[in-house]
Amino acid sequence: MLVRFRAGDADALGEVYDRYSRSVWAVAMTVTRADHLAQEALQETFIRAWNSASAYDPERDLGPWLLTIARYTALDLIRRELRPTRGGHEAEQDAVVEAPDLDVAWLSWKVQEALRQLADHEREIIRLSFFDDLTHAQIAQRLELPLGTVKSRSHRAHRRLAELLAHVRDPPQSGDDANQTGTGGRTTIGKAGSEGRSDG
Amino acid sequence: MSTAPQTDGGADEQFVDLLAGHLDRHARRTPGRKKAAAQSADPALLAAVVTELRAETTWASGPPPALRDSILSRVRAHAAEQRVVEQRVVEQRVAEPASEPLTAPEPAPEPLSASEPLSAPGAVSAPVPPTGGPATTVPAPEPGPRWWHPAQWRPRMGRLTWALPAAALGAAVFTAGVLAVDRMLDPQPRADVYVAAGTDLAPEARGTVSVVDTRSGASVVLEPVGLPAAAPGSYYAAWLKGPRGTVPIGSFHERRSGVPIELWSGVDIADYTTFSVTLQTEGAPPTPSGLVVMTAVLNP
Repeated sequence: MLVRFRAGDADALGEVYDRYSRSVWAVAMTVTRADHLAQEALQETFIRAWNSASAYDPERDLGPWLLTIARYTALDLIRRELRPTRGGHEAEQDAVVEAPDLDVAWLSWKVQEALRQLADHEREIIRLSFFDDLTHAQIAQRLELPLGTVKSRSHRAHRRLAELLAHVRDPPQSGDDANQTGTGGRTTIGKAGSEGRSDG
Repeated sequence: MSTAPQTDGGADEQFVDLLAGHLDRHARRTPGRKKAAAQSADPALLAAVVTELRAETTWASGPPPALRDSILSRVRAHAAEQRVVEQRVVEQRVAEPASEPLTAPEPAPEPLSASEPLSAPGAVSAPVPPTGGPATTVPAPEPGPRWWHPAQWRPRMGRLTWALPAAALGAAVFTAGVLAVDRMLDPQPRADVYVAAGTDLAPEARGTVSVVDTRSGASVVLEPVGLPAAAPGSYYAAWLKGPRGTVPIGSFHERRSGVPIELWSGVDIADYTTFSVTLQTEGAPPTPSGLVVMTAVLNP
């Protein structure tokens, strides 16, 4: 598939999309924090990737290469939105978008990739616990499972997720060959922890 | 291609233990978990992971399904254009040598040779070296051209008799081939497809906007899904918006859902960045009401 992708095969791009669209979407939403911009960023990411496919090195993992394109594409859109406009473009004038933290995009990508690799029941229990904010007892009730089973599954799921995120502290592999737009400011990930989300 | 878990190195093992323990404490609502995290080696990262796991983006259903088709249709259209261009270049290269025998100046009169065969169709269409060739090097049996002798004319007339129809046939076949390939690969003007999304006023609405540049203007076809019919006394209006201003491109009511809505623009779409649909009131001024129900980003 990667060989076909590199050769510019549109069907191979479809397979790449099926594999990575969710992660690219997470990055696009994280960076742009707006649905319509994320849609634009996602489309542009895959089209840029397809246009640059001949520059992709098949020996390297496609994910980080795609992530690089995704986050700089999203940043380009943000910069475009921040640019002063003329001619009564009210929507853009009203848009207030802060340049995002690049490492948050990396973390979003890694978490998406890790969750994708979990078993369904592991992912479900993490979702109920963190996103739905349910206690173990509530999860047991929801899933009609013994409390002990929920606790043990939860523990295993956390362990597995942590293993999959073992390298999250490492900087993403360089994808500079895909980056044609320059870099934005790079701040520490600590900012993300206190930022919270406003996306919906 | 996958990111298989690799926990090589003691530092990574420690981080895995740290993160797994933090997630456990968070899930159990263990008192003092934040304090424990703050005292760990990487408190910011632990907090960031939890923030990520609690984010709606992380668990959202992913991009709208229509985006996939939109991307692939754009890519395929671009690829088809490239193929046509490449094919034309190849055909042009093939055609150029075939015309050379007709346009190239005739070499000096060749002496008739018994060993030289009469011109064959294949010989006409094949590229001929501009100079030289076996026939030109064969010495003439008698010095001096005898152009008035009928024997001099016959072979030359014979060669032209074959060459002209064959060249004309080749040119006709080539022209027909180019036209056929052109029509086959580009039967319709290319459509740029964009995804339209509903706003807070019509959160269920979505759809595609196909833009085709035709000789009579830009055709903009909106295929909305989930857009409620405009109530009596109201209607929808579609607009293009860009640095040059806002241009109306048509109105509709969406009382027959599932029917593509064809709109027309007299302005160059490339100059406009946003497609929008507003809810209008009959009798009100024909300017955008501000009640935007759908938008699409054009020309990203």
